[in-house]
Amino acid sequence: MKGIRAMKHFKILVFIPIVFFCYAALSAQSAAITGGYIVTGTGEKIKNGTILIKDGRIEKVGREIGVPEGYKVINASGKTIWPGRIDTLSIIGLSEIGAVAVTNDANEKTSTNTAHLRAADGINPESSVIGVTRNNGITTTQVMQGRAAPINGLTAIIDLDGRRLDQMMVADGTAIVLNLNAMERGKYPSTRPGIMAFMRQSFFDIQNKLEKAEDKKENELSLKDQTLDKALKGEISVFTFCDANQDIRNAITLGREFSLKMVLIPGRGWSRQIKMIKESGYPVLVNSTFSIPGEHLTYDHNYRMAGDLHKAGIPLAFASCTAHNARQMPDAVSMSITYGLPYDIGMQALTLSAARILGIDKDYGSIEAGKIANIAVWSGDPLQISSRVDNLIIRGKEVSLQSRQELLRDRYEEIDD
Amino acid sequence: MKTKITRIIFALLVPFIICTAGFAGDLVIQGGTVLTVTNGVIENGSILIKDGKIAAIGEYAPIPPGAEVINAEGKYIMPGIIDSHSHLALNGDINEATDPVTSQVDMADAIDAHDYGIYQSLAGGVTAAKLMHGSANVIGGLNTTVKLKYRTSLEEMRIPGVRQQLKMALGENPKRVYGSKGKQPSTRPGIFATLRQNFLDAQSYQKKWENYEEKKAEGEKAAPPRRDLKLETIAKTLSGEYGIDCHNYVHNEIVVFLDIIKEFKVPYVVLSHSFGAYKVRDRIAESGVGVQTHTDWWGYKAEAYDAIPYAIKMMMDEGIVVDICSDSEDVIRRLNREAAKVIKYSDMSEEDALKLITINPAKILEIENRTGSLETGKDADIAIFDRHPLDSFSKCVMTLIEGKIYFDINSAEKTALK
Repeated sequence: MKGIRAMKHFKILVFIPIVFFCYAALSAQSAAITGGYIVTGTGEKIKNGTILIKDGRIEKVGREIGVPEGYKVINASGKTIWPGRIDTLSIIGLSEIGAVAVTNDANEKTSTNTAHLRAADGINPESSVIGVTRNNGITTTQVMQGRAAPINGLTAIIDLDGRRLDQMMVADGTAIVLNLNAMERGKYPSTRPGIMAFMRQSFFDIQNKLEKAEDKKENELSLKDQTLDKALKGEISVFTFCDANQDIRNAITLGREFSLKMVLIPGRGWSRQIKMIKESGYPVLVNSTFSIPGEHLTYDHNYRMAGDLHKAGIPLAFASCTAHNARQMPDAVSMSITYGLPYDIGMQALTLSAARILGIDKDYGSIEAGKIANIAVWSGDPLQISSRVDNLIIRGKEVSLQSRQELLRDRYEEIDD
Repeated sequence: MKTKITRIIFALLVPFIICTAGFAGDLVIQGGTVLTVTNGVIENGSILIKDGKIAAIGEYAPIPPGAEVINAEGKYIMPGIIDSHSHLALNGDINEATDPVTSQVDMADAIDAHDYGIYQSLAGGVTAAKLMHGSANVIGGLNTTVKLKYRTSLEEMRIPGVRQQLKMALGENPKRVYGSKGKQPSTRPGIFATLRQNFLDAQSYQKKWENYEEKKAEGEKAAPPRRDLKLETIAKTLSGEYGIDCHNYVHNEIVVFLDIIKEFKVPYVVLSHSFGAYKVRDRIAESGVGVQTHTDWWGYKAEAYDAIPYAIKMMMDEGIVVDICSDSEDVIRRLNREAAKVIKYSDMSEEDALKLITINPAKILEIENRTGSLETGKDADIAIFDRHPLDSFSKCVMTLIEGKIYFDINSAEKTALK
């Protein structure tokens, strides 16, 4: 007993200074970014504008704003300022080295239904991928638990800065991931009809259990079932990988049958189902811009994916679906713009549209007073691949641009004989 | 200074050459910004093409009678892009992964001139590529350098007189492929033992043949040794008839490999991937070998964990010939964007960035005397972009190989299955 009480005191003693320290660190970070060309993300563009940042949020944005005393000034004249970019689906923090199994915590391949898993339980806040990714202006990502199973676990939306996950967490468990192409040979489900039957049965079983339960309460349900129950009630989103033409149709059919709050991640069949996607009202995550078109398609078929979907009136954002190559995700946006996506729509696909699809646009996706201060100061047009991030602010704090790769560069700047 | 004088000479000569040289079959690309890559930029330039070669290049000039004209006003004209590392058009026949040493195989035997990937690459401005054996084996097969003459034939595509490079591979891939079968090599020492033993065997094989030829020349009776394709290819590599293209990643294996090629006096070697090369770039510069690498790949395996996007510039500063290659049927279509990415990470001129995908790979493939830059006398391998090729919103609008149009955005093939 005594020991426990002593523990409690010890915890409080440690806790108070930590809280104080965190608060002090944050409040010390009042900052002003002055003189830059601000692309707010809402469609507004401000020349020679100022952004005031206080307590982790954007205090003011506009022209002719005075800088209060005590604010750290970041001079951004001649530079372009964007909201932090959002990678709408990745495995950042779950994969340190691709081919080394022990460093990977994405994809629990032991079951066809892993809805009871949480991405948050695997995220390593000190993964070297985080520093590398944010150096390309990506400040927020939705981490998926995986995509290897037909039904995968809960995602976590995180900001790419912090020593502990709770310092990074934006929204925990707001979506699951379905994969209509996660069939395995020789194991049920091994075909498309198998996958669809498996999905339907999984949802029917929960509906059935709920009907049977006398008090109709969720506590009758397993962890797995509770997650799917939330999906059925529309409390969480369902991000669905659907590669071919018929997979996209099946995803939409499934979404309609069970009234799911679905977001589609279509693959090579996207152009065959534009009408059906549009009618479904489901937004799309684009991650097939650089997929190689088949022999029956034009060479530029997938370069046109985002542009054509936008033309049809389908809301969209981009997703890397990877860890190490997440920093390359904006390259696909530049390519899409080259092949028909309007520039401003591409810009928003990386920021405000992405935040909307993730349901975090109240706090994220644009440079507006009151929103979380995730901001990148760029040397030039951020959609030019050759442009660099010169300053990066995450939750109001200027973060280091020294990732593992800059440290390696510096270590080998000189070679000893 | 040299560039200035050359430009003045061009300005004086080009109108003369173009006016007098015109006859049917000639082609003139007129207007546009010419990025020669080796002789600076010519605004409003003109290129005269005769018999598939660049006959003249300079400032704007009148069109010779009878010549076909490509109007490139407002466009950017650059040398055709060259990919020094590709597995395109091989129909999946990439790895003869049945033995750690398969030097008897030749990738030319797999090449399909009708592969749609060739057209998709032409649409990205690529005109030449080295089509390669994979990295499963310590010693793989012979790579073949080709021009991307879609829907012609292997014979048409092959560049005559170009030294083939024998693929070798160090590190994780051969370790995994053979280690998982309980076979040597399962470690890096195993890989190097395999390599050394085969080099020694090839030397003995070569001796046998020399002894036989000697006896024959002296009129002695002698039976010829068995012709062994595997050892013959390695022997020809040691003598320089073939080069070596060595797949490697970490710096320590690079150093060991450089020591081995020095020990065996291998005449021509290039390094592939080489993500650890920046750490030992002094050793690489000293050995004179070129490096074909990638801009920002990393982390997909342990040996790629220390890859950094700054490496290309660090190696260039050391005097190493470096290029950006694709090793991918996707990335080959957008190598100009990979070159732009180098400028993001390192201060570099646009011309130096373009060299990484044109003249430098040409040097590594030993075809720089005929392609890789826009110069008089070279093959008319040309890519035309609607904006500067390092602009992220640029796209290739036309690709020519030896003066023939293989891609034109205005009449682009809708599909491969037409």
